Amino acid sequence: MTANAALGRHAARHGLEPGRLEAALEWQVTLWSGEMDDAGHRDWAAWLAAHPGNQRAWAEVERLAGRLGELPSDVARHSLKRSRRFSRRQALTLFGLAGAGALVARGGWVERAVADCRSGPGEQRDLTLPDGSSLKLNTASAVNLAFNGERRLRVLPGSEIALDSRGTGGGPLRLEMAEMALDAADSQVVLRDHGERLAVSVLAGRVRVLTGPGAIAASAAMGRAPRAATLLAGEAAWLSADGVRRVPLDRAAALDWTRGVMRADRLPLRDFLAELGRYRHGLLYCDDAVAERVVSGAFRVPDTDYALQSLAQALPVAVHYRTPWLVRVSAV
Amino acid sequence: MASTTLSNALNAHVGTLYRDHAQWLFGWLRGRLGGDQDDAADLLQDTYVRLIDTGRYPPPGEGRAFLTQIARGLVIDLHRRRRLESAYLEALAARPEEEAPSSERRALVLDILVRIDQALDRLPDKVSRAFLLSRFEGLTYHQVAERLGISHGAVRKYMLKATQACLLALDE
Repeated sequence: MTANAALGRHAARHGLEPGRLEAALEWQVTLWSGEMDDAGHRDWAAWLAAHPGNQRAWAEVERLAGRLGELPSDVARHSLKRSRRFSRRQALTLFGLAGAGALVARGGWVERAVADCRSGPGEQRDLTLPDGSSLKLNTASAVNLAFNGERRLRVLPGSEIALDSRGTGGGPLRLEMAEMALDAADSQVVLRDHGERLAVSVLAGRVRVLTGPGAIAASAAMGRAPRAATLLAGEAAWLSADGVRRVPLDRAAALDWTRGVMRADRLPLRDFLAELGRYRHGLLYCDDAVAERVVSGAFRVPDTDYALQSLAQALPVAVHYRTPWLVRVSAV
Repeated sequence: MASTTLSNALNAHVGTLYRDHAQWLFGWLRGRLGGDQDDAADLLQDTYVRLIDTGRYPPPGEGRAFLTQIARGLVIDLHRRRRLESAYLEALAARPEEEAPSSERRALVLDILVRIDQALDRLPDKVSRAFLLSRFEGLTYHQVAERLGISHGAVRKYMLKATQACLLALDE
């Protein structure tokens, strides 16, 4: 059986056109790249809007991708590993446990050591970690925990989290992103992953930062040295593979989302919708004609429909719900 | 009617296959399941059910090979399910109690794990690894390309292949 025969049968069973289903799968793969820009998102929206058949095909892909999303990634990572030769060693270095032979021999150590926390679009979560630290997840965020003697959180791309580890005892508390790591022991820190760079706000304590290749153990094993810096309470910074750029800390703004508020301070409408869109499934976008309209104010999240309603009252714009997951803002 | 005739013929055929080979197949299964009689009995029944489901039956003289092929797949699936189930339960044991999922949810997650694991098994090694790195390690395609030492275009191609295989496997 060829792959395309399977696609054709699936399309037939669900009353879809095979070509559109294939295109929807291609869009899903593009969206998953972690590298899609504004133009790409608009192309996607245009494809969706072009034909009801595209929307039906997309809904089917979204349904199946949603089932995949039910898998906790810690379980998936360590039970779906393919090549033993590759994976076991890789998992070890990733978790900084290379050489821990006894743990490997026992089997299943990773599963015991890790847990998985995630929030969907429009969800926020409050969690207490095994060491007593408090962890808040903003919308569409995910972290994998490894608390087994060590304390380690892997922050997945696009996530926004607030971690308060004050008074939880000694030893490092590692936060890991791609090519970046923080030691946030005994501190209060908010961070948001913007893809190529990471925004960090230190509200209390001090945070040691490592950036560049070698920041996480897997690359360190290849002998590349990361760059280090320390951020103190009251400091904020952008971190990227290039290093650390310090910026003034706006304490209230950093914590806005933890109180269910999204604040806009003279934001172009395009940027405002991109920000608000994090709290929704699907796509929220606007016509070029209104993209530069300026939005200011405080909006309640994660209830974005109310925010959109307020927007339409404050500005001469109209909100069109093509489907619940495809919303366009235009001039009135 | 044609369909009744066909169905009767098939049932007669299955009956013959059961009479001729069930005892032997039971021993074969028990040998591959560490001597466990209950598992062997379950999979013996499943083998014949699967045979009826496929609607195809073996040419004369090849019954045993045909049944063994089905049974081998079921043994692999049982091992797969047990392995995934234990990995899943161990992961759950590490979590705070209040986060324990319901038994319905556990069954759902295990079902999805089994389907994805099966789908990945049929793909080339690098294709399934690219998919796992993207979906469960949170890497971008550029990072996947670097990790696997392949081009960005190859990552996209692999992702398309794996995404199609995995998503279609998740249909009810």
